[in-house]
Amino acid sequence: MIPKPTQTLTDLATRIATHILPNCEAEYAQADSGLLVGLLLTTAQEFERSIECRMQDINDLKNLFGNFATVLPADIAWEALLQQQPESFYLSDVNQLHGEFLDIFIQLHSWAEQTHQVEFETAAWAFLRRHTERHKYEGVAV
Amino acid sequence: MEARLTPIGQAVARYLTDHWQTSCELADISQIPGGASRETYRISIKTGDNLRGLILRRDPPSSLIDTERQLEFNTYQAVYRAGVVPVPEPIVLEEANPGELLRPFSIMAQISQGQATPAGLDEPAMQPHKAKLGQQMWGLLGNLASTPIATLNLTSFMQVPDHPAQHELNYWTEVIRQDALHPQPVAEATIRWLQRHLPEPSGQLCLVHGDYRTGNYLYTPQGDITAILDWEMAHIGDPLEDLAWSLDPLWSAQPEIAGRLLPRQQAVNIWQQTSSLQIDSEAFKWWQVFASLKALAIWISSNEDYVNGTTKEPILALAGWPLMDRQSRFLVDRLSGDGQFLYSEPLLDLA
Repeated sequence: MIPKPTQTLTDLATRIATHILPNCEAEYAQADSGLLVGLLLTTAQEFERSIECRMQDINDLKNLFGNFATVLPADIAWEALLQQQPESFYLSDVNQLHGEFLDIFIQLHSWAEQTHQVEFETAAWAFLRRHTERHKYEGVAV
Repeated sequence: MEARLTPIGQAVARYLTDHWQTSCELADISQIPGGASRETYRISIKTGDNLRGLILRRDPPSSLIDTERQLEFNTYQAVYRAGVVPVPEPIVLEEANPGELLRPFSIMAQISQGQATPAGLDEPAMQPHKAKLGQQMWGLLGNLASTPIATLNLTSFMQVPDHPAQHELNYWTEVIRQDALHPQPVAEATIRWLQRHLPEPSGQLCLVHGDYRTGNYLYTPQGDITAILDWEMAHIGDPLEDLAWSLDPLWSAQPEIAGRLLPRQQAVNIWQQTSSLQIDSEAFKWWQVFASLKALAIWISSNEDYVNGTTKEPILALAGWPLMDRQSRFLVDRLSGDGQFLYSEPLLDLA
């Protein structure tokens, strides 16, 4: 059988919301249960998509750097990243490479602002729009 | 009364017996949810024939906001004595000898009426009272903004910043850079924007609450604010800081409504009428962007606390995930220049 952790986490959250939370008498226990429900729902979403979202960010940034290759400064180590792949598809390895890409992106975004590279700046904000959309959590009341 | 809380309540009763030199007995204790920076308990103590309602705030092993409890307690005292806005009476701060309570704590009088929950404001019964509550929320803030810091005698325990905007930006930038567990491209772009658009000091200084928003005041079913709470981030600063913070889209499910109560412009008008202070439009935009950065810093810090700290409160993790995500999307709306406002309204422009 293939386990379905996302569904299991969602079912756990539902179980707490429908069976445990209504039976909590203390105000603190009710609030704590509500927070646990939110955290489980968040974890469920993250479990399902975490590798995909990070890999999309990485590939998006590879395209961004590649598209501006003729103008990007050589003293920021963007070029070395273009051929990089994560060591494995364990989340820790994908996270590691994702962090390296974001570090270089931050440096390039700052460089573009200082040198008035308007096209790169616009493309950088468009990346941030896509990046934040990808990582958006749905249906978690906060 | 929950059995797990009884030892805490009994320890408070013994402490107060010593402190007040009169016999105190525990009558009731319950834990209040939502206190992310301190464990908060509602305690009823019997002294003779009287029942006294108290609030105990105790340091947790780690917290959402790294704050100075002495500064918070002194601020409560200053505001309570001056009567500028309603606050609970501060009774005692114990840092050196917490005894049976193990960690530093403070005790305040309990405000007998009112609840703080933001969701309660959306109940149908509260709809007729929202205008009145909004008038009080931003009217009280206007009072605070126009009260000279000398009146509150704040300089004995608070720094006076030469450049409030730069001071705050430096502080929260450091929090982000120290606590971020992963690179933060939205936060870094915002820090650079804020540095490029830094306003000159306005010359107006006041006591800034630091977290003035829906959720941090008590309100009654009749629409009266009975107390302003949670002064742990209070400092001397620019009056626009609290005003901008109170309007941040995070505090309302509807982006155009400030703090679940009033349209943003109406809230600002009340503040201006009460404070009689002029608002520089560009500076106000800066403080609105800063408000989202400061919130982002708090969520980043809470995430770090959850991962590395000893307290595994779910609120810390939730702040670090969905709240950080939502706050980042507000900033992309407002700074990207792509003209899309998917999650927030444009910055309020008073020009």
